[in-house]
Amino acid sequence: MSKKNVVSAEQHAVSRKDMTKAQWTWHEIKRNKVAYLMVAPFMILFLMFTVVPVIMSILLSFTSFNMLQWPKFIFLDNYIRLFLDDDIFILAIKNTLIFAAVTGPTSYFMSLFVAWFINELSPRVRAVVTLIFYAPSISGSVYLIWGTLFSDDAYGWVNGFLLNLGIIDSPVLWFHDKRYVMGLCIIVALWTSLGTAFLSFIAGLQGIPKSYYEAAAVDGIRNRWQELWYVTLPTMKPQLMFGAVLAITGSFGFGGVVTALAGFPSVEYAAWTITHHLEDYGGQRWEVGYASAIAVVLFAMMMGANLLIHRMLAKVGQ
Amino acid sequence: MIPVLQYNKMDIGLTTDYLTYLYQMGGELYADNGMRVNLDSNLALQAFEMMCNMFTMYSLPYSYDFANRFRTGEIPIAIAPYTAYNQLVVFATEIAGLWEFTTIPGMKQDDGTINNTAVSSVAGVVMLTGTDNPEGAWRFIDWYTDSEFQADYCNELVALLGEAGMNPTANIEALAELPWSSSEYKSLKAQFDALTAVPNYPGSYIIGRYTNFAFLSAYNEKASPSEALLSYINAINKEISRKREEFNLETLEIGQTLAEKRAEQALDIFNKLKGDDASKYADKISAAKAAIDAALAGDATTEQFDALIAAADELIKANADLFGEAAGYMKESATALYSYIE
Repeated sequence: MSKKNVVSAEQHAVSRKDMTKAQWTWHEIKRNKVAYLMVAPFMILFLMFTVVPVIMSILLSFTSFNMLQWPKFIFLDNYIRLFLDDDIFILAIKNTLIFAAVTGPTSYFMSLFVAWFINELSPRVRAVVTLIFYAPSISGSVYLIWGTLFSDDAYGWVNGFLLNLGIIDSPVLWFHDKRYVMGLCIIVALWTSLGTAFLSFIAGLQGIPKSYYEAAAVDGIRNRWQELWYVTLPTMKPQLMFGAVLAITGSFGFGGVVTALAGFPSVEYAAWTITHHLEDYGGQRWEVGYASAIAVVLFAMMMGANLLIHRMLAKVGQ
Repeated sequence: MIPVLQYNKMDIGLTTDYLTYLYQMGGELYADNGMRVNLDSNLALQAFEMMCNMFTMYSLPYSYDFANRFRTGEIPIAIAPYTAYNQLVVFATEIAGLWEFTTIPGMKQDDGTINNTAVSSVAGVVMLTGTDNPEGAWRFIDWYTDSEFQADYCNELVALLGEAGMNPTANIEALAELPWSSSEYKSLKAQFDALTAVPNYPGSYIIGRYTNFAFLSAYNEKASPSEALLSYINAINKEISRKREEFNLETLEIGQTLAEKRAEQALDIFNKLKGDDASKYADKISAAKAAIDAALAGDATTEQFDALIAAADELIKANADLFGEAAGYMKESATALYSYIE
């Protein structure tokens, strides 16, 4: 809401002398108790399974906890060690930012432009093309086919093809060679990234009334690009926000695909992301306090990225 | 054999388990009772280099599907786990009777014998303290690991699944009762007699990870195996120390050996002595210090280690109360130094 709206609401607000603000709030809650009752199931589950674990994780990040003995308070030691003594974490941050920077915006713009182009097609063709692009993201573990394609075996598809052509003379260990594993993982990430955001862009594009475009043409819009920037994108701001949030969270939390394809850990930590670092310390080395510290840092990074996107998207259309 | 095989367009499947090479050369994975890893010793580096060189010089395949390649004849000989036998017996029935297994290849030792030790994994049965029924639990464990039950179980499996059900039981008597042919059983028994296992110390999970990195960088990018392995030693030792601290076990600093640590502890005690104690035994103390320096020097031999023990004994003779602890440290340092000799 812009500042104007807030000021006028205050001017219309009732100022009472017989209740404090807190009493007034409680009075309003009791008046609307049916609404609260209806929201209660979701709120209880949300609190129990999302909010409370986050708070517990923040608390645990100040302890040293190995799951067998009671946690021991060591205050900021985990964070100090994380930022000053852990080379692998710095490498993980670098890899995560590369993944996020490449797959986040790239997949976002890809979704947008593919949706924009296929918006022109007839409904039936559009449905087929949408399915072709959307299928990888809903197919569960189909990305493993990349592992089969790029198998280390000399009889793997890519290796066999290149060996037959004489381009290489011995099989290349695609996912076990630190020079290739990062590039391959980025390709797989982009392939699986045309997901829900893509569908929401298509729906959003369909939902823009034709009258907007006609009005814009009257106002002086001359070509498709101006149309896109001044009419299409501002009308689609909710979908853009939704897509951005999904892209950010997806790219920061991108880990399962890499583990399935490149092993745990990937060669010389070449495709090691913050999520892997977390799983390593939490699940393999049983240092749950340290893993919680990593989780808190990841949480802060994602919140920061989301706020940044909010600011940037507020400028669309101006 | 490898050149002949490769000339005929066949290959061999070697194991990438560096522990086999290491233990066949007589080395060990841990030094100083698990306080640090022994991979920076000359013997370990030699074993690792040998493994990497075999793979890179002959371009041996790193990843291959053993059952298929064996059956088509492309890899007619390979080091494979026991379960490969079970698989091949059902999977490749058309070559039944045309293949067999034997003990793994080994390294020729100085005295001419061949050391073909295999490194095995060990599984254990644990009874928790505070259990309600310890005698019952013990009777169960006893019965379960006994050869009578194991033999019955294995024979039942074979009766149900045929030859593919040859269970890899750890009970040697039960293994003898499985329907092996006499030549197969001879090979099995010979390998059982040449078996070793790696002791399990805190932090063991980290070693396989870094040795795999080192091997892959040598295989993919033709890096120098020793350099690659040496670059990870500090990371491994750091993790071992972290885990040992968690269990309140003694740890070493990075780059320090147990011999150096004990020597430092002894020197600390000497330097703390004051006044008449220091002056009364001054010559013995300086002799001990000289012996310590000589033993820790790079070119020290067993003479210097013996001299160290002798100096410790001298100190005990002079004054057991005062020097007992320091002499104990000096002797432990000498023992550690002996253990580093390959």
